[in-house]
Parts: sequence; structure tokens; C-alpha cells
Amino acid sequence: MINNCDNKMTQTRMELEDGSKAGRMDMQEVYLGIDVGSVTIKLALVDPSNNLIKSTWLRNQGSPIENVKIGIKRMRDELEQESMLDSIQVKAVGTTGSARYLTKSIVGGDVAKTEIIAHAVAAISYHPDVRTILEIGGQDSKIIILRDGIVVDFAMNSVCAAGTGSFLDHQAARLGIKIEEFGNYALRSETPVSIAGRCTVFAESDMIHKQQMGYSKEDIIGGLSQSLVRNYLNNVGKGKDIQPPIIFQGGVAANSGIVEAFKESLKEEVTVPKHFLLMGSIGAAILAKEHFQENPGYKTNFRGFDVHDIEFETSTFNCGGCANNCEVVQVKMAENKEIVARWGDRCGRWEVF
Amino acid sequence: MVRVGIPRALLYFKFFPLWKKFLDELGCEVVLSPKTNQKILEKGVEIGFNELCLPIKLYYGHMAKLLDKYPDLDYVFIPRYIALDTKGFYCPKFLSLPDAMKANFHDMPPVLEWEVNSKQNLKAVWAIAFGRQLGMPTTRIMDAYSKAVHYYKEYHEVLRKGVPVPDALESVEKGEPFPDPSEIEEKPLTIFVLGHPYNTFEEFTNMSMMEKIQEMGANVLALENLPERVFEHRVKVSDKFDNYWGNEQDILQASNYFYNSGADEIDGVIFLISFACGPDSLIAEIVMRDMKDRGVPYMSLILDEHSGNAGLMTRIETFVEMIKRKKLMEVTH
Repeated sequence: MINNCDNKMTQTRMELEDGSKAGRMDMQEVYLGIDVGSVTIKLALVDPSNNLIKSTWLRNQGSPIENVKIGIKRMRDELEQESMLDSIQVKAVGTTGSARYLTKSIVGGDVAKTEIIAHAVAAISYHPDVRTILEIGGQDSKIIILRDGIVVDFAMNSVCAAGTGSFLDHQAARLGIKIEEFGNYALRSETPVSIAGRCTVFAESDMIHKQQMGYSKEDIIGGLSQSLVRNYLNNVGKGKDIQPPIIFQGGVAANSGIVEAFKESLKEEVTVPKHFLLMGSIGAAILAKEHFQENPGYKTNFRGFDVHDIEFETSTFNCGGCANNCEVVQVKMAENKEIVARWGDRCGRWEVF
Repeated sequence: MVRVGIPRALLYFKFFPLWKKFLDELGCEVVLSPKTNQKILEKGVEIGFNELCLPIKLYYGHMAKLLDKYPDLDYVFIPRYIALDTKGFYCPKFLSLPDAMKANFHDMPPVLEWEVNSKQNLKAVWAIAFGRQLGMPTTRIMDAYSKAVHYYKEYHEVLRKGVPVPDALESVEKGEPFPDPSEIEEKPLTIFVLGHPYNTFEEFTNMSMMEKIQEMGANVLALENLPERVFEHRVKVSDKFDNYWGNEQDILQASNYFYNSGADEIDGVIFLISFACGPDSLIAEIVMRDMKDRGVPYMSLILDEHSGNAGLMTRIETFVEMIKRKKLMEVTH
């Protein structure tokens, strides 16, 4: 069995050196990227040429650990169904998003990079001439400025999550429409009403007020889309040198109303890439590939697609070592009680990554 | 021995070596409130009213902690910095600091007020007025003050050789010799952290960001580590707009330096700002424009009592990574 495996690997390597593409039954080198955001988890598998081979996404409700495991299992099952599971070999794993370090410890990741870097790397790979990336996710919004394929400036929303995906979700629910329909409503609007978009708390009361005044849902949603874009450009985009080509990615890019509002405000073409939702995870996979290629003979820490069978226990304790009384979180493997991650302390005395 | 308490906040981060040496030479014992912790922050937020900036709220917290920890203090030392040159003023919150404290802490021991207003008098004159509060003769005060000034100069020389401010402050507090600058290891990247010392060296509220940047493989420099000549000339912004704030002058001088020859010495600038700081909000705009013009990677970070660790770290990690990748591209092309 082991011999068999080795043969397969040698064969693949030889074929790749030949320049020919690895066949379906050969071991293909792949890189896994996991983007654990505040609202959704995205997984992407890319080949050495950055082509997306397989992807999946799910909502991040409750425990990110459990959801990452579910995501990996889902990817594993799909690979198995398409009988690809035995023909790929994960060479490195990259994680990104707000739970990047936690996820890295759980799945056995090789690199953990911020979502800004991951988004930029993915965008450059598909659109090498990109100069501005607008990214709006579940709770975060970012702007990334690039020149000649290099990130030169960026900004991220701070405490304020106005205009991000979760706010739109909430407003759609309140107006009794599906979030998938949100964009179409906005596009049907002929005279969008003015909505206070500076803060979502004000935006919501303003929207309710406009509803009570009898304005149509279309015009309210149209107005909301415009005010959110205005808010984004005035806060996150403040002082940034926005130049075309402009790419809009992240979950909110699915919303055609927001896309239109951006085009109108910026008076420029705004491109939504094919894999707009997955760009963070694709970027993480590419960063994993870079890491693998920069370190000859590198061996991945990946626990394998069966990581969903491993039970993890999380617990919290207050340190009590000083007046800060930090809340320390630790994650252990249920089987052997090995600590895979521990943090939350300011001084670093408990830290395990 | 006369025991004098000093809150470890605000201008402590700038002038403590001067104050400490002066008080030592006047025969006083100096005690400090402990380093900022969650309880001190919470106390400060509770006492200080909402509209204040975070550093002032922390001052309230430290004063409360100091009085609580040392109930037997003979004096509480409170600075009142009005102006350090003939142009501009310090922020009004610094001007009124002793009054604000007296209004809040009614059972406070007598206040030793350290007032400096260079618009009216030389610093030495203010020093004599200070010493008189302790009933000291002028000759003794002058002798103590000149020793303190000398010591403060030495302190700055050590900082200019690259010793980090927290390390130097620690040796001042313990009365030990300054750390040796030769032990500092050189790294391929240098990040300049701009800002008031009570933001850049307040490790609790800035979540030890200086240390974290170092762990990411970069050298960290602050205003205090820059050459003396950077601060020799006053910066005038334009004919229409001159900087009114005395305590923003060194920030403008640094920005001016990086706009000119200093740009080659650093790879990026992070400006650490307290939320609700009026002067910083104006100056940050000028610094941002300067750095953009000069093509120096720049980022501002705003701190408040609600700051989350995650957001701050994501920005810092991205900033350092951005510069690393940029340098790598420059090398390979």
C-alpha cells in the first residue's frame, strides 16, 4: 500500500516535470485555504496554477471549530463522490479571517495570514492589473489599494459595522424579503429615497420612518444601497486613491444593488470576480502554496480530511495572576488531552499556538 | 523622608526621569502607581467623564490607585504643562490637570504642582517655584534642578542610541544605570510608531503593539529614538495654518523629517492616536498627506477603551506583511 502511494507520487512528479498535466488518477498537488469569517466559512482547494478545484461554504453559526470540521467533511465527501479524494495530495494549508489562528491549530494549518493579504493575493492572481479592491463581508469592510501588483495601502472598518452583510441580512428580514432578492429590489427603484447611512442605528430608524410614510420597498432599498456605499467610501475609503481597475469581492458583492451604487458613486466600471465569495479562502490557499514553495522539502501540518473525526474540547479560565485577571481560552484534543491552542492572556504566559 | 506619589500616566512617559531626579535631589522619596491594568482602566473610565480622551481617563484611574495604594503620601505630584516654548499651548486638559484632580479627589494629600509656562518665564524660574513648595532654599533647588536637567539629557542620549523608552524608564524607576544600546539586534525592517508617548508606551491600551511588531520581525522606532537635529527647528505648516498645539510639535517635526531625508531610514509609519484627541485628529491629516506624497507606507490606529485586540492585530499584521511583500518584490525585480 505504502509502495503504491510512493509510486503514484513519483509518477505525478515525473509527469509534472514533463510539463504535462496530471491525469485524473494521478496524485495532484493541491493547497487548501480556509477563510473563517464572522458570518461564513469558506474553503477552497487550488492547484499549483491557482485554479480552483473544489470549494464549499457554510454559515458560521455557533462554534467555529465545529463549523470548520463540518466544512472539511463536506469537502471530503464531495471529493469522495467525484472519486478525487485519493488522487489529490494537500501540500499545505492556509487560514485567514478573524478565526485564522484558532483554525490553524484545529486543522493543522501551515500559514495564518490576515484577510486583507489573502484577498489581495487572490485578486492579483485572477486580475493582475487590479488597482483597487473593495471588499465587504459579514462584519468587516475593507479597501485595498494596489499598484503594480503590490498592496500599497489599505483600510478596514473599525468598531462600526455599518453597511456590512449582517446589517443587510437583518434589514432584509425586517422588510420581509429574501436577502437574495435585495439587489433586485434596489435595481427596480426609480427614485431612491435618502436614508441616513452614517450609522446603521440611524439608518434603521430612518428606514422605518420612510416605510411609515408610505415609500415603496424598492425605493427604500435603493436608497439604503446608495447610502451604504456613501458611508463605505466616506469611512473606509476616506483619503484612499481609488483607481481603476476596481474589483468588488466578499459576500456583499452578490448584491447587485450595491454593485450598481458603487458604479454610480465612483463613475467607474466595477468588476465582481467569478469567485467573489471565495476570494479570501483562495488567497489563503495561494499563500499556503507560496509558503510550501519557499521552503524546499516542507511537510504540511495538515491533520487530513478526517480532522472532523477528532474531538476537541474548549474551556475557559481566569488566570488570576495579576489585576488584569485575563480570560484564557484553551482547546484540547479530547483523546489525549494535548493542548492545541491556548490564548487570551495579555502577558503571554499561557500562550500556545 | 518626604514621600511624593506620581500617577504612572500621561506625561510620566515623557518627563518622569526629569521629575524623579529633581525630587531625588530635593531629598524626596518617589512612589508610582502600578502599571496600567484592567482595574485601573475601569476606575478611570468610571471617574472621568465621557467626553475625555482615554489617556486622561487613565490618569484618573492611576490617581485613584495611587491614593489607594499609598494612603500615607506627603504630597501628590501633578504637572501643569502650559507651554514649552513661546509659541503654542499644550492641550487644555494638561493646563487644568491639577484643578481637575483636586475637584475629583477631595481627600487628596497636598498637591505639589509642577507648572511650566515658557511664555512667561524660564524653566528654571518654574523650578524654583516648585522647590519653594517643599520649603527649600533657592541654591539647593537650583543645584537639584541642574542635576535633573543633566540627567534628563543623558536619558535622551541613551534613547537616541536606540534604547526603547520602556527599558530606559524602568532603569530610572529602579535607580539603575541605563541599559546598554549595543545589545539591540538589527532587523531587516524598521517601523516607526508615531504618537504621544502616553499612547505609544502605554502597553496596556495599545496591547503591547511595539513588542508585537518586533515579534513580526521588524525594528520599532519612536520619536524619542530620532536624532536631536530633527527637533531643532519649529515646523510651520503653511502661511495660513500654523500649529497651535505645543504637544503636537514633535510629531510634525518627525513627519517633516520623514518627508525629507528620514524617509530612507524607515519602511513605514504607524500613527497611534487616542480617540477624542482633537489636536491629533488635525495633525494626523497633515502627517497622512506628507507620507502619501513621499510614498511612505502609512497607517493610523485609533485607540479607545473599547478597542478589540483582534482588529488592532489584524491591521498591524497586514501593515507589516504589506511592507515585507513590497520589499521582496523590490528585491526580485
